[in-house]
Amino acid sequence: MSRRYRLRVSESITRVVHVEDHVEAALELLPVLAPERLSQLLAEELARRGFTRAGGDMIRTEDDGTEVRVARAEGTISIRAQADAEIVRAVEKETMVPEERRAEAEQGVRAEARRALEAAIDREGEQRRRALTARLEVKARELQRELDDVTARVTAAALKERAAQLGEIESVHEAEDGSLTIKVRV
Amino acid sequence: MTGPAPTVTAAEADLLQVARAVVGLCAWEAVEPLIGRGGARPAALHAPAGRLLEETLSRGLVQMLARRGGARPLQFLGSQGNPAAAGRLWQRREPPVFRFTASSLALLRWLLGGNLRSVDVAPLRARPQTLADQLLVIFALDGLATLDGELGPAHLSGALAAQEEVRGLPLAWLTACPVLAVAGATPPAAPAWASMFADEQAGGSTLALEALAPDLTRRWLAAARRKRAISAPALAVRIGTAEIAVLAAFMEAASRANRRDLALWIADTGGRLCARPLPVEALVGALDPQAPLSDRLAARRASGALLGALAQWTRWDGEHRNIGFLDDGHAAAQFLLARYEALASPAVANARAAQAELERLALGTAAPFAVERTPAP
Repeated sequence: MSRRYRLRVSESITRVVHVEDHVEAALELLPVLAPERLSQLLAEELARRGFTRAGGDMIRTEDDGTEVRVARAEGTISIRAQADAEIVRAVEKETMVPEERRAEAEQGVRAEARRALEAAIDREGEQRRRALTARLEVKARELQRELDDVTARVTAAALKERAAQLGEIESVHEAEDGSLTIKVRV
Repeated sequence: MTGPAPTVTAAEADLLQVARAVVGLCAWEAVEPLIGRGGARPAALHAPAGRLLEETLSRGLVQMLARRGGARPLQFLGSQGNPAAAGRLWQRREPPVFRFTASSLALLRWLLGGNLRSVDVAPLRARPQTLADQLLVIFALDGLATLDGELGPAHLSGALAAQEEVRGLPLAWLTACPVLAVAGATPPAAPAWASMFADEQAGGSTLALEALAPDLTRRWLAAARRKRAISAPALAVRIGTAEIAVLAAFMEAASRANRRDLALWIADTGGRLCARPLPVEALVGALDPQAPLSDRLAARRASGALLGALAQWTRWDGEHRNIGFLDDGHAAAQFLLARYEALASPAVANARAAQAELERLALGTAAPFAVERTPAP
């Protein structure tokens, strides 16, 4: 009868996990002026709010690393959150094996340990992605209010400019609900 | 005086019974034990069975088309592009002569064949050649969906939808878009859609489109309701993307063929869907809150297929308004204007608001603006 050995195996994995999520939407601007002029008004309003130019786009990076990008030519806004994290996981497995199967058993136990570690890292990565998504969802809601305001201001500025082109502006009334009435003498 | 009843073999009797179910002459539940159970399949039919089959299918198909909408007094454009007289299908058109090819027999044999619930379903290998062949396919899809049940996985209808010969049929996409999309199929290319508007001798489907118009409205409204139960974003995207592609391709083909009247069912569907202000929850279900935001946003956008199609109808409506009295197509344009006005016009504002809400998620639209012009004294 062969002797039995206690086989103890330690395995560890270090992996850099990248998680990201994003949302994108169209900016609803009334086409009351030429697209180039509307784009210019939009850029000015965004610049007042801390956006900087990057080619044809306007970009702002939030404190938490979320990037807000307005593509002026396409009239879209995208919010992208991403994070990298180094995840280290270690596991120790122990089993009793007969002497003649020691090498084969060690291979098997190591493979099993690595599979368990891979699965643990995948779970951890998914948890981090979910946390990132939850953060992005909150951020998107916050930015929505700001972007509603941006759209309203740019459209109002464009309408005033257009009204001035049509004739003499008699009065401008901005209601509490955000609606704007411009009376023009033509 | 009637002769002796024709004699058929047991296998032929099974096939005839399945044929009766396909064309609605008996309930699908009655043939459930025969479907996909790998029973005996007649390799060829003897003359009496052949005659019975043709008679069953022809008679049943006419009844089916009448029941699905052909019996309703509707109005479409006529051959000269002018509005034809309103009436029921058989009042508007010559009685159709349905021609069934070997493809129809192959379909019935396939239904009787191997286990349709297995992952390894035998291929159909019979492309529908005529309108009658195509109609049998879409009614078979309906029947199998009945056996699948409302809530269960679509094993039976999915097995047929996964067949290459079915995936290439525009008519099947119009009648069973979600089933085909879930089966992993993608809608056919533009030439297939254009072929729907060809002459009937060349395989065109205009007769079916006229007859099934009310049925298509019912189906798409039902599909919109069912989508509210979907929580997986990937599934919602798959179905919604297919719906967008199908409606766009169909409308484009109808427009190129000067048969926008055959797309009026879309205006009807959109009009009914958006008859009242439409909350997002009426279009898209409670999506998995753990799923990535990008996936959820994509699912929401994909759920607005009918809204997008209604927007296309609104653009068409604008074109129809610009066709003058002396222009070609004035009578057709006036007909389409009147029909669109009655079916969908009141719903357009609701559709626009719903579309904006779907696009929004977290990013918004501007507040309303108005410019009043004061005339110079």
